[in-house]
Amino acid sequence: MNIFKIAAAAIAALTLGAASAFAQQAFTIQIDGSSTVFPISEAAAEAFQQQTQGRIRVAVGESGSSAGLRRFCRGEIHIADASRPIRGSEMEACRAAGIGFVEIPVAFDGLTVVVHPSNPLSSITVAQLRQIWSPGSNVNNFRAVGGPDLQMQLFGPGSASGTFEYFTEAVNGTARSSRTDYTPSEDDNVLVQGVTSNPGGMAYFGLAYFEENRSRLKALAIDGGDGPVVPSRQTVENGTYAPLSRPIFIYVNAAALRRPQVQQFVQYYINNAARLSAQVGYIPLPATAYPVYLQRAQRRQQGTAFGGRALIGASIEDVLARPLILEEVQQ
Amino acid sequence: MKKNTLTKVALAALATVAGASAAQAQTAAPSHTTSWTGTVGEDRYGDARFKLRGRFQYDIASSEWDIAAGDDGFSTYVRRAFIGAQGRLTENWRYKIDFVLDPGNSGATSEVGVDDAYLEYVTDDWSILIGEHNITSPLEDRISSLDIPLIERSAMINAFGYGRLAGLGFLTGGHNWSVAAALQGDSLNDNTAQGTSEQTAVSGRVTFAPIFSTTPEGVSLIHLGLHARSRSREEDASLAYSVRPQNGRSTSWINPGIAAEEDVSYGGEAALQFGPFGAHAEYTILQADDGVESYDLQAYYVDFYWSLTGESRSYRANTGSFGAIAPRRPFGEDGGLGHWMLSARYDYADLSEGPGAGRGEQTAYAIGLDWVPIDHFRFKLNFADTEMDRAVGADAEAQIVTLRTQFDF
Repeated sequence: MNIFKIAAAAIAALTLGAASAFAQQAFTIQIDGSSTVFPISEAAAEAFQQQTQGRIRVAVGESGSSAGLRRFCRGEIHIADASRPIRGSEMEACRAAGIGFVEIPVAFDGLTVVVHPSNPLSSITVAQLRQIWSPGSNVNNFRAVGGPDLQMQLFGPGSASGTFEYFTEAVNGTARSSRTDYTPSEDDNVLVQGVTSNPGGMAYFGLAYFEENRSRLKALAIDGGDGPVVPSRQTVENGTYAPLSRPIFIYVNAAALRRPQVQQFVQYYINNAARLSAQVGYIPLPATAYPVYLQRAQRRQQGTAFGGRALIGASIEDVLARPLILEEVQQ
Repeated sequence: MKKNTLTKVALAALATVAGASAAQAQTAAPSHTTSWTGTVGEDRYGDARFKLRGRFQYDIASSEWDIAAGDDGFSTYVRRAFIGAQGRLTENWRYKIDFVLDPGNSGATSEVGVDDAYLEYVTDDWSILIGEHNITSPLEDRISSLDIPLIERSAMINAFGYGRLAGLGFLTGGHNWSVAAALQGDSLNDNTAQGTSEQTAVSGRVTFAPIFSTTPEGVSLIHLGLHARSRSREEDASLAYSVRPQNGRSTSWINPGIAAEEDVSYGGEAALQFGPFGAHAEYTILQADDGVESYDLQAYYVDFYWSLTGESRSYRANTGSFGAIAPRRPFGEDGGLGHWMLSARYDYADLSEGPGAGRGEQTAYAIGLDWVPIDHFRFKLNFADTEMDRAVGADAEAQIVTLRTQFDF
């Protein structure tokens, strides 16, 4: 049977070709998600790769909390960085794809509203922020919120961002509802750049990006009803910087934690989270919290402490006190 | 056309496509394209969603029989051409319809058929379907023709008449189980004359995945399932059973000639996936009754597949079926090869009870090589050797080579 033999030979040749061309690659831990969490994950990845002398590679992306969790629940990445708790619809997507997750709060952020240093405005109320950022707002001059006669230039995170979701929920009352006539970017450095080069610039992002650019930006004190409070380690820790204080997380694929490389990296991340988060400008959790989360990773305890809902204005104490709603570990 | 020219044609086709897409990858985005809004992703209007769907499968096949009565030949044909839409009007009310076009037959008939054609009311925990569907079919029939490992489904699916029927369906499931039940008449593609009662079918399927976890390295899965169906022809055409050689369109050499009034079938299914390796196996028995006598038929198959480029097939636990494989590194993107898969099948059907001279057993072996350069484009090359052993009279053997080119959107 001539044709059969020729065909079989062709298949064998193609197979060999394909198999040899598919070179084995070094194991790479894939991380993507929040640009707010990115500086901590990047610092952890760098230090870990140095410590393991490059035997384990770690790639960190920053496509935003929502985009990261979407990829996480499709099984494309090992770890999702998130500046908000996982949502119910994302838990559903993960579950349908056979993905269990381990939730690790890594630090606290004080979401910071910044203006150009030359702007005399130094504080703003939550109600004024809502005036500026609510959908359909036509506030385009700082005069309207008690500032100078200065045209506003607004910059903000894109819609895949957890910071966008948190800010719109905390300030406008509804997640993802915002005016749209501002310059969006998922890259916080672009937002920093926007404000530093425009005297009328205003933006909001994670505290770390303010800390890194302290000399070129001015953080507004936020008045949530009890007087203006400047974001700082102290005001976030004592819970007075509200409602813009929030926990930030990593979500780890529970089955991937069986891999020694992933387990080792996550343990390294948790053991160094206090140091690294402070280093890049966030507020570490109390020292007693990390051993609890380390155990959670070691035991691959799945589930969330936040019920798939948004969490607004919670203090560090609130977050630590929340029990994890455990899901059964498969197998 | 000479037989071994087919292989050359097949390889040339693969090479041409490979070359073309490599060239494509190096140029800027094409300014002329056949895609438009709606083919990629979906359109959204508030809560409503709409997505245009389509699939096209074009086969080049050569078959060679060892008996004069067989169907030696070389042919090209459109295996499937669907155009349709899916969407929802609210979160709860959804629809899907695929119209089946048949270009090869357009000279003879102007009929347009339907594949899936149903509306679905969806809640968080369950859904109800009304229309043409196959939610209680065995595993291999539940997997889209775009995503089955071999070019054609097994003898079991074809001989026992699994497929879509019109009626009611109920589906529920969790993160590792599913239950489906259906009460159906005949297919919407089969118009029964007025004044006669069409066939009825009651069926069910349960699946359970004791192991199911996904990481970027792949899927770990054990899938188990059971299904059962009871049909009655009423005043519709008799229920019949026959089987063609694997991956071919030629004569059904094994045909036990049963004209059944009723039948009952039940079977078990198992599937494994561990990273790039996977297997399916299904076994079904069918008892047919023609009003005089009853006949026991059985069929099973085992498929193995191996992704040379490392991908796992995706699994949907809440419907107990497999989905598409998207290449980890699409062809032409920084040295990516697309997805390459090897597959092998052992397929057996025992139709040796029946009044007809064509009763007997069929055993088929098939191997395949698949290439998915980018998601939604796929080439499948299959070689199948089928032994058809009649209980009386001439045995036959057929060897069939098929190259499929397919895309969907």
